[in-house]
Amino acid sequence: MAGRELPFGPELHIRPAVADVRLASEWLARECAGVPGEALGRLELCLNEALANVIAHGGVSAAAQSIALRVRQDIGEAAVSITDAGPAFDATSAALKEPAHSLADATPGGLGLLMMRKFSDALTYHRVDDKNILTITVRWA
Amino acid sequence: MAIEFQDISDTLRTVSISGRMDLVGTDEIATRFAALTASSGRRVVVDLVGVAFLASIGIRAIITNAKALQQRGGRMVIFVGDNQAVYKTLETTGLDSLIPLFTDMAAAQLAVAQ
Repeated sequence: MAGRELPFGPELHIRPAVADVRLASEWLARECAGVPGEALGRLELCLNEALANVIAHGGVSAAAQSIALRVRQDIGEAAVSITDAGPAFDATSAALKEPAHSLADATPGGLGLLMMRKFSDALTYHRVDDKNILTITVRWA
Repeated sequence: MAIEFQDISDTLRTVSISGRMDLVGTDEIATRFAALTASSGRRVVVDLVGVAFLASIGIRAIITNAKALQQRGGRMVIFVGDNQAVYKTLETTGLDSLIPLFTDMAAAQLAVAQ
């Protein structure tokens, strides 16, 4: 909602590991029980892509600390914030890969960023105390 | 995760994937998915109707196998049926411009066999 934001509520800490990503999905579904399925699906997809990026590219510094997840809900919107200790990475402004025009030209990778930008309704990034804080918001009518 | 196949003819095969194609789920089926689509000249319909969640890692696996199949003279199409969420994800990521996408199985089989 314009001009005001509810504080983030429930929090989950997970290891930056493939095996913990489903814990994050299950937690999100529990915390967002009232969110319409279509919006929750988009939020879950963005959360999965953000976590996959931290696991793949966060390096030693991200691997050494847990990832903190926080969720917030307001009328017609829900948001999840992801705090990781990896090197500074701004998913809101990082360059997207040029789309491939044929299967022969297609190279794997880069789709996660595209999905986060397309499926979220707002994406914000802050670097605080050597940590990345990415907030993904979805809205519904 | 489950992955099954059915050979419709000597060259036409359907490969049905169901479950969550996230980091864990895609890894579980990766080897078998690659093996089932790797034959020379094979035409493959990948059935994603039963996929409950499709992350970028799953799309990467589809692209990798479709490319490998094309390099061996084969072809892949995707069948999504009425799975709106998967359809939207494939459309949004532009995969539909790389691999033909069908909501009708008969049309998918006809197209891939040509």
